[in-house]
Amino acid sequence: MNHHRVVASALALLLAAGLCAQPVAPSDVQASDNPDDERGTVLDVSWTPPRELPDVPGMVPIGQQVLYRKVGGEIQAGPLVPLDASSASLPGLKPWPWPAWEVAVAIVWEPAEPLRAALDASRWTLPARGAVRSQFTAPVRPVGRWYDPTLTNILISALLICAIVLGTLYAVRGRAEEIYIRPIAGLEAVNDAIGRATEMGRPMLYVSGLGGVSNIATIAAMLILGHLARRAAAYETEIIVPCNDPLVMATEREIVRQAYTEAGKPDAYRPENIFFLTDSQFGYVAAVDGIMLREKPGANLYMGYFAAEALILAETGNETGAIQIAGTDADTQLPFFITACDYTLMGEELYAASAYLSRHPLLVAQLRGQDMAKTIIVAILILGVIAATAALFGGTVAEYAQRFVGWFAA
Amino acid sequence: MPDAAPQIFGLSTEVIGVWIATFLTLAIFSFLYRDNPVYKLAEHIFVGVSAGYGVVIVYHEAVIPLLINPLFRPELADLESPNYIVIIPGLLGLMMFSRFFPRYDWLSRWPIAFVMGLSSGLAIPATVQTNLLPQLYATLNPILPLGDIDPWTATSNFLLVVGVICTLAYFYFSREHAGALGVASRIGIFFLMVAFGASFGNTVMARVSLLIGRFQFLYYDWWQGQVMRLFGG
Repeated sequence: MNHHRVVASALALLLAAGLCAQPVAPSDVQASDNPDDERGTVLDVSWTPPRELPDVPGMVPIGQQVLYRKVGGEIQAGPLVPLDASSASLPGLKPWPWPAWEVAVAIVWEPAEPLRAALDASRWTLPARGAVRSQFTAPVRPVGRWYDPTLTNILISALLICAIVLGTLYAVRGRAEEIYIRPIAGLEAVNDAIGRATEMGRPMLYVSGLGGVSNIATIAAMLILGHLARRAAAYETEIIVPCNDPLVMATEREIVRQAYTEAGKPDAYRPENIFFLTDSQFGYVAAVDGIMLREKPGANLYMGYFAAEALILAETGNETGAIQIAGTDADTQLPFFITACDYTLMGEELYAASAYLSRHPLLVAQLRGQDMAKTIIVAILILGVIAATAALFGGTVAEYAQRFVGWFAA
Repeated sequence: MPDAAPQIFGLSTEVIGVWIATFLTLAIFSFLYRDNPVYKLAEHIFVGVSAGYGVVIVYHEAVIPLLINPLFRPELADLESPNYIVIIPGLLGLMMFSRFFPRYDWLSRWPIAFVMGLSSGLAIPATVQTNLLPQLYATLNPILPLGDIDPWTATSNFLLVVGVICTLAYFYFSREHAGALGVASRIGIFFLMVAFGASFGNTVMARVSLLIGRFQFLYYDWWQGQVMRLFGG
């Protein structure tokens, strides 16, 4: 091993001696913000490469490497570019608040083939590369854009949808109770499920899926749980809620406690029935299956976001003979719930459930607003298809039609 | 040459791992017969180990790199000085522990409200960007066989737009599903069921591949790799 250390050290000295004889660093290095980069994570670097490189015995130049560092920080390696290159982009810098960077460019040498083979064999690679670099530039700060014009269509669409919903809320204020909501079979069965569990003297099992507290389907599921818990409290039926997420558990405890208080039975609230199991998908399923078989709930409700565990849950619940109602916006799991459950809320029916069950004016008006937004989407679809077809005919009309369709490209 | 696996009581941990995994696999499969003590044991191990593992992961992937390092060891977080802004989420996290003290458990509602409000707000533009506009754009296709559009493509495009409009009609809640809306929503249900059927078949295939994976483990890793070797096979 000592022999290889000597070889490697000699190599490094050789390189240093060769380079000291004639300075060959790139010069006039300049860095500036990349104007096309929206996030402010790219710098454009330009420099003057050395006209000719000295002949260093046993070493070959392999390219020029962009180096960068925060002010006073450690040097980091950027892209390696050919020896004749005079510019490069330095990507992957930190976004907002856009720190300043000092940039340099170095010529990188590697041992020529016979020496490299010797070094590889010795597994002693430390001085296997040599470099000579330019001076670092003054600190340069890439700057991102606060507004990305390519996302204007998303901004307008989001604002439009929000405006429609808020406008509807305002328009139907005071008469939201009069708004018709079409019957949803799965939701009408919720009351039957509570009644059946009560008659059988068995608990109800409420599974709110795998989603976290930020998942829209989980939020919808929690609103349904509030309604269910109020009914369960009125009938004094036990409700078991195993949770997959600690935050969901904390929120659902609050919701159920509130529901029992509103039903006038705060003493009947049992926080131990709403518990965290595990955040592992299949560990959770194994435990919920066990609860189904041991507690024998009279009704199982699966509301929220579900993945591969959907069929395992619904099939086991089916085996126990419980009435089962499911609701999810996970379209890949809906077929399994449809086949294994008595009733299924599909997609947006889950979101509509809270308005349907509670008839709360705010939620009902919101549902109306969402329907208005759907009407606009259908109108855009019809106009867009006509425009896309008209674009085939050519001419000025086609140009406008293409622009109309292109506006929706995200 | 790869390092040999560590030994426990003279047995390689690799061998012990295969036997434990086999036992737990068969224990979970025993549920197909009925609930039994072996399944219960596997279930409790599964839940306990995964919950404990989750705590460790959260500590090492969130608490250390996102809170401890930016505050007390900025050099490990690639920072030049401590980032005191992380004290705010840190405090919000600590407020969740108020649930252990009934008198102050109302404090835990603040972080929950923060997370729910923030994520609902974030979901609106994200849904528009990832779901609404791309799907809308993908539906806006010519429906006449002109130019490069052949008759089959035109028919497919027409069916696509009819399917989308009728499916949207099914999810219209504030009008009675009668007349034209009723017809459209019934057609929409037909399209939905076709889509669910295709999704069902696709997902069943994926599940079968998972089952095959488990059987391959039992046959190759356990039966051939351990049992047969034990008996000199």
